[in-house]
Amino acid sequence: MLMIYLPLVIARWIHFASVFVLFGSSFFWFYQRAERSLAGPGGLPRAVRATDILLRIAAPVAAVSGVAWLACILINMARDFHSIIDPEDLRLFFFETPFGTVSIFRLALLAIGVVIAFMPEHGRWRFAALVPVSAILLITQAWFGHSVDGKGLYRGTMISVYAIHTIAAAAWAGGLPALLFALIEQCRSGPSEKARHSTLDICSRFSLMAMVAVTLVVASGIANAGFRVAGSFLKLFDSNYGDVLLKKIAIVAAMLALAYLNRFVLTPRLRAAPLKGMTQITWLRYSLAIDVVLGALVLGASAILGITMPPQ
Amino acid sequence: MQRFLKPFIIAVLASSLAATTAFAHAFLDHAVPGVGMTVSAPVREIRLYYTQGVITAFSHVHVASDAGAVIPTGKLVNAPSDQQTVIVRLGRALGPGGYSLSWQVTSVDTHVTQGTFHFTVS
Repeated sequence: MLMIYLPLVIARWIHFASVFVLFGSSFFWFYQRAERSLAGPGGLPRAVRATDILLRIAAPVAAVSGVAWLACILINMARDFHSIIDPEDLRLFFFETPFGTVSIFRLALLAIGVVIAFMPEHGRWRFAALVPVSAILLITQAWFGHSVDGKGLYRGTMISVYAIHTIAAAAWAGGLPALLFALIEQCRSGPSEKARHSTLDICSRFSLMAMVAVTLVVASGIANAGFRVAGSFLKLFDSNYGDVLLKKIAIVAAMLALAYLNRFVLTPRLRAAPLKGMTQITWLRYSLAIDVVLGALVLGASAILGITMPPQ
Repeated sequence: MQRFLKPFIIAVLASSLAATTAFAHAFLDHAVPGVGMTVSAPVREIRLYYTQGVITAFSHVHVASDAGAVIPTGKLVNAPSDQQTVIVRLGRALGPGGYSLSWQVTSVDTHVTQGTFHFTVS
């Protein structure tokens, strides 16, 4: 495990981040006004173009890291680096394990994601196609971790809670880059009453989605931790699993503090600011950039948690 | 939205608090012959009971006598309709003496665990 541990964590981390971007940044354009993703009045063509480019990077990165993740799992299980080119080990992995079928399905989805990302159509069509593909990729991650433990209804509940946790987190954190692109375009359009109204509208729509998403993330996160420790949360304070989880919670708390700052300090100031002094948009951009970095760190903690033994 | 969120949150938290078992990774719960136990000869198979489902295709068991002789074993299989039980069929019946069994298993959540125990055949 020691030799493959670091590559396994890195592969998981990159994969989580890229699929989060695929889902969150595509989904972003569906809770914003429809005209935002068009080239006409009220549209954000540069932000849409930047999202397109981001998705074209994220899709192949997700595919490569997804394959690397499976390769690391196989090497770890077989305790042999050659297993990834051994036809018998590959046959056993894909056809004799409960996650073999899910692995094949995920590989197909990753390939479809790359094809969609590089189709010549721009904007909304691509986003609409990538939302369900990336959502299924997020949900099927459950088959490679603790959520698949147990039997029957208990197992079904754990997988469902995992799915809600990861979808809500991806909608929130994965949508930050698209929001950042939108604010950058608003900022470059120069100070005007129209830009101010647009910015407030974009931010308030993201805030509304984020409030629902964060509620689901926190509730399902507590439930996930409860499943890992069978309701005895004190066990978390004396284990490696608990250490990593507490660090993850600390980073999420910092993200929530920033979200509070954006929603209840910077946005009202932007609403009240004179046109010349619309520096609040710049502050919002900085705040979002920090949020993106914190989101990446949370995913790193998640990548470690999934392969760390919970307290018994 | 609140009408949906509140019941959902209560149901999710209640289900996790009601959880009574939390086994991630497969650990040996018990075995036949038992860990550290003395049993009567002959022993033709060993049953390992784990806390979680085990994938036998990526699991290994090594049995050796105290004298160092390796006991041949057949392909590992799960008990019918019980993925948490692994059956180790021995190439020959174990005679009187001490034996150690080392195991390394892959659980259904892809994690690998390992361990060793000793038993005696009288």
